Formats: sequence, structure tokens, C-alpha cells
Amino acid sequence: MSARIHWAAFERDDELLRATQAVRDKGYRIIDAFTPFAVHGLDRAMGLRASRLTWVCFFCGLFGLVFMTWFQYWSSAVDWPINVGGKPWNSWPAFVPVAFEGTILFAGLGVVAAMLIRCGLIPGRAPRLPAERVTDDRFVLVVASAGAGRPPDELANLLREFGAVEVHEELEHRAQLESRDPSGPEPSSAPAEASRPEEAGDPVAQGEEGRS
Amino acid sequence: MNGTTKTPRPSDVCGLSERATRTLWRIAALGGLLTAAGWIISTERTCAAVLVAALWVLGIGLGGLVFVALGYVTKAGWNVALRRVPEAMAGILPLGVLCMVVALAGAPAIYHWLGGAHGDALLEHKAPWLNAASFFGRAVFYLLVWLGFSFAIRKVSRAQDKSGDPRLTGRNVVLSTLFLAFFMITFSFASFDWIMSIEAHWFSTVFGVYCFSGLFLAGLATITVVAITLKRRGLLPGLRDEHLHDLGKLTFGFSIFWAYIWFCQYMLIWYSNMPEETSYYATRFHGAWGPLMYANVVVNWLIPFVVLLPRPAKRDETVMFKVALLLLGGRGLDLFLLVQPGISDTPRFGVWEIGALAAMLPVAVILLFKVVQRVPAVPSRDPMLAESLHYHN
Repeated sequence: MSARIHWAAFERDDELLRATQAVRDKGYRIIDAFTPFAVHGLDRAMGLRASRLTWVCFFCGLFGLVFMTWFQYWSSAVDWPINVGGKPWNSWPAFVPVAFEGTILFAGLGVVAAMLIRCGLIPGRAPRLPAERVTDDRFVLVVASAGAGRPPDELANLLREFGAVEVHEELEHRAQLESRDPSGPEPSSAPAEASRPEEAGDPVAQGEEGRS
Repeated sequence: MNGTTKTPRPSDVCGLSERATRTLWRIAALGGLLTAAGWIISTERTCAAVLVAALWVLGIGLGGLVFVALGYVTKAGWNVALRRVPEAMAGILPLGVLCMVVALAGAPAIYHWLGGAHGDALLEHKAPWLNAASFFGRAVFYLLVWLGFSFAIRKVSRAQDKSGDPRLTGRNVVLSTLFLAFFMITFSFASFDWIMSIEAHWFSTVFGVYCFSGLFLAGLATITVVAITLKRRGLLPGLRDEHLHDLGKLTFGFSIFWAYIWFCQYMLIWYSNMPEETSYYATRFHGAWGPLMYANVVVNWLIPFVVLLPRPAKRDETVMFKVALLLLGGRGLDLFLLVQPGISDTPRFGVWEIGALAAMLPVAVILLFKVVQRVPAVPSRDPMLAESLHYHN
């Protein structure tokens, strides 16, 4: 990979939001955005397609509802009927609380698990951060640099115009990111990260980049 | 979407057209005549119908006030651009109080314990709470204090329009906190007094929460309907899809909450199966009331739940408007089922019921649109307004 990228660091989330929109309106390709917390509206500014996790959530919930209802029916009316207060064995009002909680449990845990798997956030995975401060107080936008036929300074100027405090043009985006990695191939280049692994592992910052 | 939105308001642009207003006044006048006639001809039935209508109108005012107070207490920013709508709802609380006074004037026809216990052991046991003096005393106390809070909170909000003093927000946070604490307790007692005591032998401790869930759900639906109506006429330009989305989330959530509390009450009574408690549901699920009980759950929970589940639905003006209208109908049905089965063995919806609704609801609609247009559409100097105009979901 030898694509050229620009990465720009912002101090505020709304600057990042506006810059993202503007850069995309100019026809540049956003590679990713890194933020210390979830920034509302960023997915739309980046032009990401609607998340399909809602469907995972829905079907997990539906499964929880059906499974819990069936399980209660099977256990209390089929496999081991017990007379409770003279009620019929198959008494749906008694099943509702567990079915309700089961729906929420399956939907909630299912969608989180799906998100972690889809983003590749498994234990032991090396974090990929463009700058360590994205886990603290910096908002970083990574944009594919212009090809031929564009003014060379246009993108950098545009980013600065929207409040970027740092703009760098770099080669080989992937390699750059990998080299900043505390467990990456060049540990000597990143002593600061290596000494603070808990920060580099910030799940929010990584959650934002799951679609790269 | 640009900053503080203030469009010039030509006098001919109204939330409610002249013609509609005139028609509504006529309906109200006719309803008033019918109710007056019914009061003489069929007292018990008319009084019950008036109670349903009065609780509905009172609920609009209280629902609006609770929404405003919750916004202050949680220091919410998103709702500021549309806050004048619930404030206007709180502004018609005096009408709700008036309707409630009329309804309570007919109390002897509805609350049979008012006529004395007559050797009924349960009623004698409850007499320290359920007696005429304390019943009316409590009603006056609740209604006056609620009115006082609604005046105070709205006054502070309006004062901020002029002075722009951010400390006024702090004052309303204090007022709102006091109101919510007072309201949640007193509304529960008021529900016991005004609704539960119709069937004076029956009792349920979660009853107040159930009544509150319906009140707040209807409040959210009213806010949605009024806000969208105003926006369509260009009178609430600050209203964005983000606001609809948040209103939708609240409506969705409180629809579930309503069903949750409905089932809470039902399941405990079903499980313990004690005759003095099951009588309430035996009346309502047997015979002609049964289909209405099922319809109540479908209208107030099932349909809003399914329709508002996807994200785009909550951001869609047409969908939200329709669901909110449905919920307003659901509110009427819910109140009908709270009050009427204690009065009558079979559902009756005839001239007296329609008369009472016609007498009160149109006036509420007219006043609501009048009040909302008497003040600037947006609290222009609220410190949270910028957030409300620009936030993302």
C-alpha cells in the first residue's frame, strides 16, 4: 500500500464535524475519523451507510422473546408441570416478565457482541491509532490525499480553515498506523504508547474506526 | 438551519384558522348545552362523561408542565426550541382545573361513598381518607398548587425572553424539582381520589403510576401533534427532524412504560387472585368491556411500538403525526376504561358522552393554539437554545 493520506487533528468535535462534511463535499474520500468519544452526527457527515446492527438487535430480541416464551411453556407445561396457585400450567401472564427481560437481554448482549466481532475488537488485538491523543482530547480526521489534477495544497488548507491544529501528509497509511502500535514491529518509535497500553485500548476510539 | 429563528408572523397565519376556531366554538357551545341537559336528565351518566373529558383536558395541562419541568431538572438542551408548545399546554391548565371543578360538582353522582358508608365495613375503614371534607379539600389543594407551579415556571421562562439572564434557568430548575416531587406524590393521591374511588372497594398501590404513565404519554402525543401542526404552518421553524426523533424516542419509551405498568398491575392481581382485587378486571374483561380492554393495549402500546421501532419512523413527520393522533385517541379510550366500568355494566357511548367531550375538548384546542401564539415561538434567549438548534442524534 502506498496511498498518500492527510491526517488532521482538531481540538473540538464540532470542528471535526464541519471539516468532515466540507472535505467530503469537495469530493475527497474520508478514510476514517478518530475521536475520544462518540460524536453524534459524525456517521452522517462521513457518509457512512446506515448501520445494519439494528437488524442484528431486532432479530436477537425476537429470538429472545420466542425462545424464552417457548422455554417457559416447555418447562412449566410440558416437561415438569407444577400447580402454582391453581393456575393452568400454560399461563401466559406468568411468562410475560421473563419473556420481556429475555428479549432485552438477548437484544442487548447480542448487538454488543455483533458490534465487537464486526469491528474485530477481540482480546489481544493491536490498537490502531493515528495519534495517541485521540483517546484523550484530539479529534483526528484521516483523508485520502488528492490524485493528480488537484491543487496540492487544497486539502491541507481546507482542513486548516476548519480549525485543524495539525495537518500531516503521509505515505502508506496502513504502515504508519501499524508503526504507532505499541505491540507493532517498531516499538522503539512509540515508547509513549507502549507505556500506557490502557489508554491505547480505549474502546470508544476504536469503536469509531470499525468501518475503515 | 440558522441561529435564532424568528420569522415575521402575518396575522392571517395561525395554528388554527378563523373558520376552524368558529366551528370549534359552536361545537363546544352545543356540547355545553347537551351536558347541561344531560346533567338534569341523566345525571350519573353525564357526570361520568364529564369526569372523563375533564381528566383529559387536565392531563393536557399537567402533561405539558411535567415535560417542561423534566427538561429543566435534567438540564436538557434538545427540547428548548419546542418548549413553548408544552409551556402553552401548561398554560391551559386553568381550563383543565375549571373542567375538573365542574366534574367534581357532579361528584355525589359518581362517588357512592360520598353518601356515607351505610354499614359497609370496607368503606367505614376507608372513611378517614374517603370523606367529603378531605376529598374536596385535597382536590382544592392539589389543583391550586399545580396551578401555582405552572404560572411560576412559565413566568420565569417568559422573563428570560426579556432579560436573557441565565440565572433564571437555575430558578426554573429549582421550581421544577419542587414541582416534580410534589406532583408525583399528589397526582398519585389525586388518581386514588378521582378515579380509583369510583370503585371504592377496590385498591391498587400502583394505580397512581399507571395514571401518570397515561398522562405523560398523552402529553408527549399532544406536544408532537401541536408542534408538527405549527411547523406545517411555518410557526415553529426551529423544529427539526432531531426534535421529532427525540420526541419519538420518548413516545416509544413511554408507550412501553404504559404497557409495563398496565401489566404490572394486572399480573399481581391475576397471580394473587383475591376477589376484592380481581373484581376490577372481572368487570372489565368479561362481557362487552372485554374487546375495549384489548383495543386499549393495541392502541396505546402495540401499534406505537411496532410503528416507532425503526429509526426512520421517529424522524418522519407524517408517521409521528399519525402515531401521536392515535395515542390521543388511546388516551380517551384509556380514561373511558378507567372511569366508566365503575359506573355502568356495559359500555355506553351516546349523546351524553359525546356532549361532555364536545363541551371541553374543542375549548382546550382553541385555547392551546391561542396561548402558544401569544408568546414568541422560541425562547430566544435561553442559554440552551443554540444546543437545541444544532444538536445531532
